[in-house]
Amino acid sequence: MDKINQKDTIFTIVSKYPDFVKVMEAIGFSDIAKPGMLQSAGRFMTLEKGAKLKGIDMKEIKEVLNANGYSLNEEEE
Amino acid sequence: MSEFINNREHRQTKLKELIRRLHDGATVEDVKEEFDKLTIGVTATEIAEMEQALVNEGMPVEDIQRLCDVHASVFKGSIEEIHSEDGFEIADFDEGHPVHTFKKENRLIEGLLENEVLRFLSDYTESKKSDDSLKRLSQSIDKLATIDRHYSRKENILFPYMEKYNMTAPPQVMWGVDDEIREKIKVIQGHLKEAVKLPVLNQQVRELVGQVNEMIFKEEEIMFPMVLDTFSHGEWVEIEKKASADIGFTLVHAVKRWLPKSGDSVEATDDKDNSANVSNGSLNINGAIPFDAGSLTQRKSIPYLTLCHWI
Repeated sequence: MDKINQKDTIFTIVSKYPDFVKVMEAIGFSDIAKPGMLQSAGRFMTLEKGAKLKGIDMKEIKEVLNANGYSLNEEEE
Repeated sequence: MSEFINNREHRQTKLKELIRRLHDGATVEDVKEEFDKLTIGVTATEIAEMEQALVNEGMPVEDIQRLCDVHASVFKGSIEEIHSEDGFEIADFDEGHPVHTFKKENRLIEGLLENEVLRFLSDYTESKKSDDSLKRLSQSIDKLATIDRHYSRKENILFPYMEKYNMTAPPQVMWGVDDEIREKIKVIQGHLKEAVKLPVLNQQVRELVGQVNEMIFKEEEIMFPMVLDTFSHGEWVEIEKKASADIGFTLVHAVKRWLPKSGDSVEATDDKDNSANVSNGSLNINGAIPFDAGSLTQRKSIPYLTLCHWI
């Protein structure tokens, strides 16, 4: 499974795994998937921040990631 | 612990070496690979320390200045990642700096939502629509309507600079949401004058509060770090000037002007500590650098920026 860290920026993740855009849409990160967003705001938006912003539980995100063949690496604070 | 310190020292020595090689004519590509290997997890603080060390060692300021363009591009990726981790605190900026003012407004907006809008909404619901509670709720929504000034300053003053740097998508998306918020406020204001059903009003106000809070989060976690990383000092001066003109502020009555002084008219400050204080991610720059001191003296504490941002 491809590993993803919740503190990684969306830009970093998509640079590594271009298909991740589809997963983002599945999670509900719609704005960041819009053209031009990834290269700008995506450099500052992390998975963790996105979850907080959209009010989505990280557990839920983890499930979607796992279902799509990614594993989530949760960092200790 | 000692291992950690040694690593840091080693890294700093190596970083300095790389800068010197760039200075001696090596290209960015020549040193990039080595740099990447060396700087996994490098912090902006370390870069600031290193630059300060070079100044202290007597590297002419002009040389550092010449290096800036080159090593800014090498450092860019690493620094961006640090910004995304650290976030920014209101205390990091001088009063009157446009970001300081935006954040100050955000704190007051949060307070208004929590202590007035949501509270008066509950009062209104519980009191079964008493006239008194309706009046207070209406007043709090009218206060919230002045958020238009915060958004207008952002849209008309900050966004053009973002577009200049080809950041076109974030402003478009944000502007769309700002307009939705403005529209929701108007709808609610209308409903408060009519006899709208409580559950409808409840839902609309709560939705609005959620959306305003989301916008605050987007501004502070994404937009401010992005523009602080990009705009030049001169551009911030221009932005401050425009922002002070005629749009006005949200919930803030008077905003102190942020006017970095230039030339010889620099007033002495009472800060006697001229040493570089980089342990907390800011650099105490007062008196430490013998150039462009005019515009720098007022901003003693510079968050997360390397010297190059100020040359």
